[in-house]
Amino acid sequence: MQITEQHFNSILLELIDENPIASRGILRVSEVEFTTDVPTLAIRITGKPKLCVNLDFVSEHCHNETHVKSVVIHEFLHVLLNHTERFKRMTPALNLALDAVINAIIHRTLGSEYSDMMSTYYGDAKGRVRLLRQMADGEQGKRGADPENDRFNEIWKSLYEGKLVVDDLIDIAESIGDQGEDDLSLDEGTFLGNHSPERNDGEEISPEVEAALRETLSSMTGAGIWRKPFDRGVGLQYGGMEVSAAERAMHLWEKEAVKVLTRCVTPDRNSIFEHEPQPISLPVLNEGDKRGFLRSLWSPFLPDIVWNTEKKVRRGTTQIYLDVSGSMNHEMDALVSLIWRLRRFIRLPFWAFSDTVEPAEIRNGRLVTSTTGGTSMDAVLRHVALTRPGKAVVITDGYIENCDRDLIKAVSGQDIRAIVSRDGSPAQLERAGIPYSQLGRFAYDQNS
Amino acid sequence: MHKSSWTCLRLDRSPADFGEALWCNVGPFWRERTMSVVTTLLGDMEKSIAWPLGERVGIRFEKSVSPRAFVEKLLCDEGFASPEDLREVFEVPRMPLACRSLGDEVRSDSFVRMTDEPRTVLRQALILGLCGPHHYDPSKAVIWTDNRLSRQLDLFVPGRFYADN
Repeated sequence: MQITEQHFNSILLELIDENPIASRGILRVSEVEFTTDVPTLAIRITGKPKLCVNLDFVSEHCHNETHVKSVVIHEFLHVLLNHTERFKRMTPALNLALDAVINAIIHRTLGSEYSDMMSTYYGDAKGRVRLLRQMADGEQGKRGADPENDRFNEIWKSLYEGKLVVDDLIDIAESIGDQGEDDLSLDEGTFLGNHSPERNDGEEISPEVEAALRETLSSMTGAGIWRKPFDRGVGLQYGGMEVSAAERAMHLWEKEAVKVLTRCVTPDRNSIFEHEPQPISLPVLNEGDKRGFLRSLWSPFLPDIVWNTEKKVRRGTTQIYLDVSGSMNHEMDALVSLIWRLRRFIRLPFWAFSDTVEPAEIRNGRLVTSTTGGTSMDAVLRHVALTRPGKAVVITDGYIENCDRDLIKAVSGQDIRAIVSRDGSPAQLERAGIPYSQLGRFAYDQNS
Repeated sequence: MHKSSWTCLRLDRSPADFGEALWCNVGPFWRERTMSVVTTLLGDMEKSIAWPLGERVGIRFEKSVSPRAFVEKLLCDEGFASPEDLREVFEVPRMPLACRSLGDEVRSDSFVRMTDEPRTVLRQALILGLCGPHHYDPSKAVIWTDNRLSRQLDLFVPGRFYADN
């Protein structure tokens, strides 16, 4: 099929519009470059993302527009899986296994119209390279004649039926690689896609690609690609990989931060008790649960009637004030999760301060509040003077405005402490006479 | 105790077998036959919430012809530099519409043929180039591929989803 640059661009735009396997993110940010430097197609993800296309290859081997889309999707899946699986080194067997898994994903998720490209291109492939296309009718042969061949056929079939997925890549590579690497290449031509021998760790992928991959992983289900998609960050779990990369450093920071927090938020032996409502279920009617009462009139089951009772709990006395002016954004989430562990000693809601003090709550694991952008300690002191919690902890970077002397006097009976981030400045707090503890270096800053 | 004896239910039996006393606890009985419910909002004007048919678009090409190559040649012959220029000449629906692909069972004379008046064909090609997988959107770029130009579509004006009580 003779294909021009304009025609290729139109097909690409159509593909972006159709968005198969949530590929839109990567394809949209990639600039198209027509070149003969690549044998087939390749997506470059370092620097400005680029889709390099060898138009001669496309014209020679793609017989219709769906074939063109198929090779583009093949490239996209290379980028996605290289990124999520983080291969240290590409062996010929792993290379073949990766390509086979990608082609099987295309076949299963987009249908035989798409996988027809691979069936045609690898139609004459022999030996283990046949994994790159769907098994043709009658190709399986008789079972039992050759156990080695039976084993290979089992892998081949399972791959295209979706029983083997990306999670099994290493196992597939080992299975096909244990017979040597002699026939792991094509007699003629080249494999589809970009096949660099090893990952260059010095090359960082661009933030644009990073964001596009995040968009892809958060908008796809991952079904048919991974056995347990959530392990790979699908559905907004993508951040997990970054956390594991800095796991040890993060652990040290957490340990240190908990120590500082516990010092400030210790249980107060003089704190008063309060009664917390606690619903319990009893098979005894009361006039409060009218719905249960009505149900008992017709239901043959023993009724579950809700009784509202109370439980005596020690009231948390410490009031927490978080600096949400923006300068502590990168470590605030981690701090909030640590504070949440100590919540039984803390009076809820939290308070967030900028130029004003606003209530802050945790929704879906995130701190939700409002901010005006400044950092005024006077607002906190005024709030403490008004509410008189007994104990207050201010978490800040210390870059605050001068404190009003009258307000400091007004809160003199209150135990106010501050926790200052590692890069913060405690000078103002010292001047105001507020005791403080400084946190360790945040895990993500360790190498900076 | 009479009430607690009901806790031993055998789930392989229909609730009807347990008598009226249990009916209220299990909701409606399951049907023991399969029925397909097929309905659509699209085009059926007898429904109060029907989405009316805006336009039927499609070009009948001969099998040996590449739709994109044919339409691009027509565009050139008519003196247009780009498909985008057609927007200035032709009146096309101004709002996004829902697309439904038509099967081969639809009569071929309801579509424009490639041998019809060139400007009629180009208008159809313009609309087809603005139709994505499910929507026609006039604010998008015109994309001409063989795939898009060979589709036959009904375009519906989006209306309500909820019927009046």
